[in-house]
Amino acid sequence: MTASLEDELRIALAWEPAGNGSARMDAAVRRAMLAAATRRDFLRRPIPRLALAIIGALLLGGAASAVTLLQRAAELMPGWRVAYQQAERLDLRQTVGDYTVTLERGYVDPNQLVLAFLVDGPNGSFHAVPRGEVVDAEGRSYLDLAGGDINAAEENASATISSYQVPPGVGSWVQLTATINELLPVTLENVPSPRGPWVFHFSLPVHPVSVLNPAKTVVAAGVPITLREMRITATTARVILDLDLSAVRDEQWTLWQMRDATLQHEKGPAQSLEWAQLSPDWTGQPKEAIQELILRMERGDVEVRQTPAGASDPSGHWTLTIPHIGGYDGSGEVKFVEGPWVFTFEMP
Amino acid sequence: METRDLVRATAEGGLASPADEQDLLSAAAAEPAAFEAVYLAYRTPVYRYLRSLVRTDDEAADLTALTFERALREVRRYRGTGSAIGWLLRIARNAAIDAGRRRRPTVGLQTARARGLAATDPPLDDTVAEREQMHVLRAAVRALPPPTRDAIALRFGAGLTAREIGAVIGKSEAATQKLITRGLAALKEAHRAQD
Repeated sequence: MTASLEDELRIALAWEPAGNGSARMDAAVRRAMLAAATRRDFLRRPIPRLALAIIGALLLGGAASAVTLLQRAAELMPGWRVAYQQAERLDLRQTVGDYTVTLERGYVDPNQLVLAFLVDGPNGSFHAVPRGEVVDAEGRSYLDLAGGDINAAEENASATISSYQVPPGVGSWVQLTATINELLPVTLENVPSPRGPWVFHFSLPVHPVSVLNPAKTVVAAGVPITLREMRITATTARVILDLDLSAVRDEQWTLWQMRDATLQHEKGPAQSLEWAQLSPDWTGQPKEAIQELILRMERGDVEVRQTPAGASDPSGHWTLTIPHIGGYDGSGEVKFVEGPWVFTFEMP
Repeated sequence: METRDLVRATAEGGLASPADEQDLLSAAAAEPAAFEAVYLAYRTPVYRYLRSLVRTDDEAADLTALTFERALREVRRYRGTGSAIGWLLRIARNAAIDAGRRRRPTVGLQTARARGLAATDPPLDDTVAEREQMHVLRAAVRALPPPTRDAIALRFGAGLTAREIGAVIGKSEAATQKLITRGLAALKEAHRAQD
């Protein structure tokens, strides 16, 4: 009897998503993976990416389809779309072995450097996206923070938008060298990465930024949070916050992070602030030299976040809302301290 | 095992060992694109568990998506204590609680059975009868006290061992086994009452 009941239970509880439930789940997780490519997860590992395979024929021919690919990659983030539109046309091409990498465009403002790459491989090759590093004439690193990749099966081509954090103190122009060391194949097959380097030298004008230092503190649940600085460009808005977590941090809950924070300009949409950046302590050190900085950041005392889109005219009313902060015990458990912490201010 | 091998192995029918599970989560922590393999490997048990907690397919699908979104955020903090599925189901359980969808049962087994029967037409053939039987059994599981329901759903829906279930619901293996035994006894009683 019990065995029979157990079998019946296994059948009864073998639920499968009904209707479009499965597709909705798939789409939600894919969106989350794309968002993850722009979050702080980049900090401890190579560049996060989400490769989107385009299935189906592209009707346009060679060069034209390549442009389309880059435009589609730029559409992955509103700020990248603006950057792509305002970028300098570079069209620098380098061929190593069977692969040609083209640095088609570049854009820079004090919040991010955006580079648009195309990769063309031989017929039947696996699609590949570039990985590398960027340094300026002063030797400062521009760390690769996020990226979007699009691959066209029929074209043997890939388009990549890469976003890099810009070190503080850049002037009106930057002189940069981008070195692509390898191309990462986008495939389930275990194939070796094509090796370079593909090297590009170029200069870009630095687009403007509006900066405000509200130095305003809001206390909720015994946790004071201070909005130290706002930096708004046409491609993204960045906030720098100082958190005093002494009321909630203990030996078990040492790591903290603000969760679900949003930033709203006037009556526009409330934008997510999930995209994390390095703290102001970073002054252009290379990736190998920032581990200590990252460990300090994970404690949550300083939060640097930015939005997917910026504002071409940042003047007016802004609202920053932090609904809660989350503490981590290192085993995957999270506990929340509820706010909200709400900041309102005017940008001249 | 290389990340790409793991992705392929998962796509072809699941992971071979706990070590592979660890590798898979490590790969996902290092590269968000690798998280797809985690999702493909575990979405079914996570969905089945959540579906046993909530009343509609839509709710279960939304909570499953939320579970994997949270897991993606937290995967870098996963320390490899316990099984990967246990870790995911803890997140799923918390997501259900957070969403306020994990309602306390408001009806007893008999009432649940009666409602289940009332919601369908009289059986016309064996297939319909089997479907109704399944419907009644699901309703009966949902009407169990929460810890017992969790244990039954995780054992027979998600396919976890008593030890793994204990890690999810915060009880010892022995206490979990008692919950399963108690749940089966209650369901058997309901089964008998229906006959």
